[in-house]
Amino acid sequence: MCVRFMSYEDLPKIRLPNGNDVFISDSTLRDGAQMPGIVITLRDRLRIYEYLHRIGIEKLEVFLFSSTDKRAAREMLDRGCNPEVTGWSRANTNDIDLVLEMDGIRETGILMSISDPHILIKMGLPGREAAREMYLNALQYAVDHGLRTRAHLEDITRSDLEGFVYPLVREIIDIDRNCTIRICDTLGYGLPFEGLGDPYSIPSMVRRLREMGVNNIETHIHDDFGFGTVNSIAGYWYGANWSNLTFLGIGERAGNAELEKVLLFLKTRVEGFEKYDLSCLTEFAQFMEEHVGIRVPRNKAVVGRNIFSHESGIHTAA
Amino acid sequence: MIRNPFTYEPYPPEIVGATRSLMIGPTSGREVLKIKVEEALRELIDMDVSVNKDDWRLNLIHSEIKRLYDEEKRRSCISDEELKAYVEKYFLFESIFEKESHTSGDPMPD
Repeated sequence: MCVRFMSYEDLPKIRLPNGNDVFISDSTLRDGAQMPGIVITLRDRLRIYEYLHRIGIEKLEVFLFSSTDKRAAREMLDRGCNPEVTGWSRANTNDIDLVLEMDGIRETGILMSISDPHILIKMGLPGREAAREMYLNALQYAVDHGLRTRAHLEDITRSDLEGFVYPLVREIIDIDRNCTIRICDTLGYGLPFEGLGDPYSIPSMVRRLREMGVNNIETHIHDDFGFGTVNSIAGYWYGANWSNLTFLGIGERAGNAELEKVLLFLKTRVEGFEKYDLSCLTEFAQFMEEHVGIRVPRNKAVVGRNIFSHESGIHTAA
Repeated sequence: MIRNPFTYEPYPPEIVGATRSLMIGPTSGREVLKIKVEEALRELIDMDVSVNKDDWRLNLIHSEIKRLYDEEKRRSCISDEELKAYVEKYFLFESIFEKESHTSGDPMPD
């Protein structure tokens, strides 16, 4: 039996082992906007929202701290369509109140820094117990006020999974069964395969959370080691139903897993992702270059100028 | 690429709203040059002409471009505008002169 792949149609599509109920949330306007040297105007935020809408992205998250943040959120919410606008809060009632004051937002993420360096040095807390109490109180407050929640487990790939993270997750899902547990690989230490010791394997983490009965799992992967998109896809592979991405991978330091790469993979290689329309990606990248001041490298996957430019005699003549 | 994009394109450009472009650089062969010259001619004289791959004018343009790179005078691709200038020089102006003195030149539309 001879197998011959002579056209795109001949190439077998991949199937996600846990089915196609997976979604994308965008953080271009939140984590992306935290990129040094980037200020996105109100008008441009709305343009970005439009592009995400055209692509079919299900959800995005925004800050609500400045007046521009609030005006942008208001205008997006008033359009009343996808992506759903959600909030982003630190684990305190003031931040959650900002979300509650923005009529129409039904979900917020709550920052729960989970590694010891983040708890002790960044937050300046006396220890894990203080952090635990603070996070669960904030979660309870959000739930009591009718919000859907996400727990952003920051710096999880440098944390004590068995000793602190998983016991905390149990308490989180006791408070909110449907809380989305966000695996925040904040420094990009995660790897996309199993058989590693804790805390580096994204697949092991996802599998373990599923076994604990977590319904919604989301990856949020930084690209410091260049594994952003592959870890996001590994997340889907092992049972995460969301990945949180930024367009062009903009974000702090090396940035985040790229939205356009995950989209291209799902759309062209995986069965059943007709729901995403990628035909505006090239225009979206040009918009980011012209208006937001991001320079797109010529050889950047999906949107670089070279992707469909051919020069060499050997390749072009074929 | 020219015969079938499936050979070196992982997915069709339309999927991401992009368009394919052929560039002339140090590794380009006459096959690409031929297509680019035909494109330039179409723009310059508003006519579809097909150029023979062994056309002497095409060879002259090819060696002139190759020389640029061999002498390391050039680091970037040849732009469409520059190529148009070559086409004007060799196909439009020079060929009028050549017609009178050079009988072995291929007739332009073949």
